[in-house]
Amino acid sequence: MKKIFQKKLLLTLVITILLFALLSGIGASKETVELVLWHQESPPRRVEAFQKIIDRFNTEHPEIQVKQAPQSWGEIYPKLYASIEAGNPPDILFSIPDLTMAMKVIGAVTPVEDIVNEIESKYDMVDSQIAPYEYDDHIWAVPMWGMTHLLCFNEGVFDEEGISYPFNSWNELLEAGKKLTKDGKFGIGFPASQLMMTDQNVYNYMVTNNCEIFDKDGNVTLDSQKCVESFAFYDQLLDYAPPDVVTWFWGDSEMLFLAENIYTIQLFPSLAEWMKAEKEDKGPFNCMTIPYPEGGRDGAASYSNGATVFTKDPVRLEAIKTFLIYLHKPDVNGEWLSNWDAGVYLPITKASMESETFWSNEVVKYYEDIVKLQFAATEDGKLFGFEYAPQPVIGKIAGENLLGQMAGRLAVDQMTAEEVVKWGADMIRAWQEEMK
Amino acid sequence: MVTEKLNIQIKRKFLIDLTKNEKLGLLLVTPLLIWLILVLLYPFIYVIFLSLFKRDPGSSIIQFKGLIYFYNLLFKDDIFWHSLLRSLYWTSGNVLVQFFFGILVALLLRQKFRGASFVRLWTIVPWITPVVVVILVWRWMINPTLGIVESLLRQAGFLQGYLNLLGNIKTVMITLIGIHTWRFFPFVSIIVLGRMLGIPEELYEAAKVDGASSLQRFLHITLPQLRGVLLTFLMLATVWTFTSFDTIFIMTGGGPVDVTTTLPILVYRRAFRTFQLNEAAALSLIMFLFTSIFMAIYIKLGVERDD
Repeated sequence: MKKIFQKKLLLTLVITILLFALLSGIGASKETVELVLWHQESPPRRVEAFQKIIDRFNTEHPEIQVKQAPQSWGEIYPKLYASIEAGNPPDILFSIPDLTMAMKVIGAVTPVEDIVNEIESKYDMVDSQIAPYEYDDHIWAVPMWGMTHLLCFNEGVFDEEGISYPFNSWNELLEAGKKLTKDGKFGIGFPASQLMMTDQNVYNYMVTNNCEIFDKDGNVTLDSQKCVESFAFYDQLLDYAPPDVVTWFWGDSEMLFLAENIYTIQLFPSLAEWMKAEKEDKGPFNCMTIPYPEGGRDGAASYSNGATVFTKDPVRLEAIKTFLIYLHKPDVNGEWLSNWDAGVYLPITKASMESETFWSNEVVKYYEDIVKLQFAATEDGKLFGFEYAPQPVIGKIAGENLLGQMAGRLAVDQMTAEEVVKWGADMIRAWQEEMK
Repeated sequence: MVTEKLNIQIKRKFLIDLTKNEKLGLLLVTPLLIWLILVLLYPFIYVIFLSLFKRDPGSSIIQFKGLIYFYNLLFKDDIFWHSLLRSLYWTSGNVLVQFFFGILVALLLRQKFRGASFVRLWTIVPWITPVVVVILVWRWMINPTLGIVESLLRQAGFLQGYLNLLGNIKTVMITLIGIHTWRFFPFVSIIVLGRMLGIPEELYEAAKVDGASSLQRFLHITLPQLRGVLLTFLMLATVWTFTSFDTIFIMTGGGPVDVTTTLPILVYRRAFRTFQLNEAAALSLIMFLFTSIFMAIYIKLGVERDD
C-alpha cells in the first residue's frame, strides 16, 4: 500500500515538473525581451520616479520587460569595463559623451542613428544635444536629457548689496565677487579641485571667450591667447572663493550656497533643494546665463546625456528602440524628467519642452523663469572637446580632469595663466603622441 | 629499504597513497585553496598578463608588448616618480609617527590607575570606527570656513585668516599623516601593551635594585622584549600604509595638484579614470615589488634576531 502511494507521489511529481517545464517553454516561446538598463542617477527618489515610468512601459508592452540597475558615477567606469570584458554589458547605459566615446573606441557601442532620426522627426530634438554623439559617420547614443550650467546667485544678498543682475560682462561678476567677500562669506563659489565639476566650471569661461581645446582640424589650441585670458580670469575669480576650493567634492559648493556661505555658483541647479531652503528663509535664489567679455559669445558647459546601446542583436535592438522612443513621448518625458530632479534634467525635444506634464510639476512651475533660461542656454551649450569632431584623446583629458588640474595649479599659485595653458596643451600633445 | 622509504616519500609528495586522515585534511582545505586561487592567484596572474600584453576590454586581439609599459613608467612618466616619492613620504611619515605614539600610549596605559581597563578599551575606538566616518568627520572639522578647529582658533585669537590644512600644498600631506596616525596608533598601542603586560615584573624589580633609572629600564628591558612585536608591527604597518588608498582618496582625491597622489591613487586613476589598464597593471606590479622588498628586509631582520 505504502509502495503504491510512493509510486503515485513520484508520478505526480514527475508530471508536475514536466508540465512546469512545458509551460515555461510556452512562456519563453512568446519571446519576452528583457532589457537591462544602467544609469547613474541612484538617489532613491530618482530610482522610484523612474521605476514608475518603467512599470507603465512594461505594462503597456508586455513583450518587453525593462529593468533598471542604478549605478554610481564613482564606479561606473570599472563596472562597465568589467561587464564588457565578461561579455555581459547592459543593453542600455545612460551615458555622457566622453564615456560613450571611450566605449566606442574599444568597439563596444552600437550606432543608433535610426532611433535618433525617428525621435528627431517626431519630436524635433535640439541639435546641440545630438552633436557630441555624431562622428565617424554615425550617431553613437540617443540623447535623452540635457544638463546645462547657469550662473546662480543669492538674489536676496545681491539686492541687499545693491548688485544689479544679470551681468553683462566678466568684469561685473568679478566686481560682485569682490564686494560680497567679507565677514567669512565669499562672493564666488567655484571649485578648483581635480573633478569633473571643475572642468565644467572652467569651461564656462573658455566657451564664452572662444577658447577651444582643439580647432576644426584637430590641432591643440589650448595655449591660445584666448585661453590665457580665460584662465587668468578664472584665477582672478578664485581670489574671492573659499580657500579650500582645491579640495572640494561634488555637492560641497551647492551645500555652501544653500547655507549662504557663498553667493554665486555655477551648476545644474537642483531646484527642489532650493525650494526647501527658501522655505527656511534662505535666499531667494536665482540664476543667469554665464556672462562673457567683449568679443565673446553666449555659452555654457552643457551635457547631453545619451542612451548608449551595447547589444547587436536585432530583436533586442528593436525592443530598445521601442523603449527609448517611449521615453521621448512628450507626456512621459515631461513627467519623468521633472520628477527626477527638476532643474538638473532638461527635456531636449521641442515637443517635451512644451509638455503639460513637465510644466505642471510644482518645482518647475515655481522656478519657471530659471527653467526657461536653461532651455535657452542649452541651445548654445557646448562640451569641451566636442565642439568639432571629437579627438580620441578627449577620454584622457576628461579622465584626468585636465581643466580641473589646470585650475588647481592656478589656485595654489603654482603657475600663472600663461604657464598653465602651456602645461595643459603640452600634456595633451604628449598624450596624443602616446596614443599613436 | 632506502628505496622503499624514498618511494613512500615521493608518493606522499605527489599526494598518492595518503592515509585516511591526510585525505580528509586535504579535502577540508581544498575549498580554501580553490578560493585562494580564485581571489589571489588568478588576479595576480592576470595583472602580470595585462602588464605584458595589450588587449582592450571585450576584444580578442592580444598583442605582446614586452616590458614597454614598465619602461614608459620608469623612464617617460614624471608623475610615476612623483607618486613614488609621495608614497615613500606617506609611508615613512605614518610608520614613524604611529610607532612613536603607539609605544608612548602603551607605556601610559601600562600604568596602574583607576579606570585603566576603561581607558584601554576606549583607546581602540578610532581604529574600530569605519574609515569613511572618521575621514568625513575630520574633513569637516578642519574645514577652513565651517570647521570647528579653525573656528575655535579664530575665536581664541590664535588665528587670523585661514589655516586651510587640506588646501595648502605645504600642509596637506602632514595633515593626512596626522589623521591616519590618529586612526591607527591605537592598534599599535594595544599590541605593544599586550606584550608589555607579559614582561615579568621581576626583571624590573631586579633592575631597580641594581639602581637602573626609568630610561635604562625602558631601553634595556622593555625595548628588547618588545623587539619581536615591533618588528611585526613595522612589517604590517609599512605594507598597509604603502598600499592604503581610502584615507587619501576620501580626504583629497590625490590633490591639490597631485601633492597627495601616492601610487595606489595613481593606479586607480590610470585603471578607472583613463582606462590605461596595462599601465595600471605595470604600476601595481612595481608596488608589489616594493612591498616584497619591505617584507624581505623585515624577514631578514627577524631571522637575524632569532639567530
